[in-house]
Amino acid sequence: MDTRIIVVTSGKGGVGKTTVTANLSACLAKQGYSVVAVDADIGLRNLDVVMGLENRIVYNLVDVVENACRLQQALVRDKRVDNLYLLPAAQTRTKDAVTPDQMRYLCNSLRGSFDFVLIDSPAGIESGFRNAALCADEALVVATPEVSSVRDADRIIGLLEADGKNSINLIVNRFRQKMVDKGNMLDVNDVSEVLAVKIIGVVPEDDSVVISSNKGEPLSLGLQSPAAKAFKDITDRLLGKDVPLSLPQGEQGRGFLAGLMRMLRL
Amino acid sequence: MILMTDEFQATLKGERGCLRLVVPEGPPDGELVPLIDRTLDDAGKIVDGATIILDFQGRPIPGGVVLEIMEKTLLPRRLTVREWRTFDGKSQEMLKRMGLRTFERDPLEKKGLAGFIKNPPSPALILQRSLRSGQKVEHDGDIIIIGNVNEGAEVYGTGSICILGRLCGLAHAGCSGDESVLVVAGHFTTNQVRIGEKICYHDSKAPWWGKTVRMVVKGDQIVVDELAF
Repeated sequence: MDTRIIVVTSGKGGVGKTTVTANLSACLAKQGYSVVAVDADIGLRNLDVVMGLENRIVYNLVDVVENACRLQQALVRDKRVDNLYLLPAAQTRTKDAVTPDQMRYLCNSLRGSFDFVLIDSPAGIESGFRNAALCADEALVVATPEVSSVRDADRIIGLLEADGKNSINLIVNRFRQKMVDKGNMLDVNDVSEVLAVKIIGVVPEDDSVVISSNKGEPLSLGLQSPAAKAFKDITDRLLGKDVPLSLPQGEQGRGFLAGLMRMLRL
Repeated sequence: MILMTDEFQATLKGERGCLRLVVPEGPPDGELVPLIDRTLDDAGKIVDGATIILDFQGRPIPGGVVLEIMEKTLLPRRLTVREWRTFDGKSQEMLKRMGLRTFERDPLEKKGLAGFIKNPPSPALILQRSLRSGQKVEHDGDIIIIGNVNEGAEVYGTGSICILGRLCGLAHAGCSGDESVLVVAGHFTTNQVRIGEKICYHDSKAPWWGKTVRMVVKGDQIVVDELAF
């Protein structure tokens, strides 16, 4: 299988790029693929914390591109699942520490060694984003159903298209059906209409995401929750499986009473 | 008529007796010089010794890139730059500090008379795609967009603007001052429209929100008509 390099990006910060990267990486690895999650957010690294690997970092991405270590030395292997690796970002440097040529070299080094390379892009549209997206074959754009996030996602999609990226999929994160029903949140259809790219998944707002991030244990590695199911579905769609897109019920759809009310259509 | 299907190529257009090189906003700074060089190479001998306008649209241009463009693309071809055009405020200031001529509307143009006195009207620009946030189109003449103008996108035309899809971004018709022009939107959901020197503000409570509308200047204000066919 050829290596698929996928950049996870958004434009706006705080929409869940890192969570998506960590969970999709874990999910893909669980299905038997060799995966490396690359933290391209130089200076503001978080992926290591969300994946629970922060204590085992010795070298980082900048060390690799500056030839201070070999690539294999910088890769942190996840002990909970086979074939899952993290290439952490440097925390003490800035985005300028990596040039486009160095990023190209890094991606070429990873290509061929893994089935999937997931690159966690920094927020913004400056050099950090450009480096992260430079060698990606595909892009996953993460947006929350808020006007500001959708506008930033639109900007990012425009830039990705301008760079010749044809495979751009959208993940709508932190979706709350209850708020949509009350008219307080954009519907998935609204988001889809504005952004005009394929929606590959809708992840509901879910407390378990916060808990798992704080614990450093990606949902996909254990916990059962609506968000974990959404990440599993996205992974399957990434792998080309035909999984129908269904809107998650999130916090309102669980429990006996909620089920009964749904049955009675109340 | 200019038909643009691939917006992100650098394009050469004729404008007021010289050539205008429109540089796309997409590519990173490091790719600008090769892109301009390639475009000028493709144009062949017609550009040698010509006077050009370098139009960077809304993108910022660092000083180093300006110098590199001069050194590697303009000087070898003996090109004279009539104008360095960008809508990025900081870049404009920097260009002025470097002593370079930037985009300034002349007083005649501001009154909307330039088209009648100096030049015949330019052909309409037909854009067959949607404009995403941060993308900008400006054209000396009418603009027809077969697509949407998303929030954060901007359209500036010295003539009328017709958007067949959704208008969520900014449309400024008659941007050189002509207020006899109009704006048509297939699905109106924007907060601001400008015609000439007039600006009107809207919100979702407006009765024409989400409708097909035409906007023209009558008296001192912009009037919105809902279009029904």
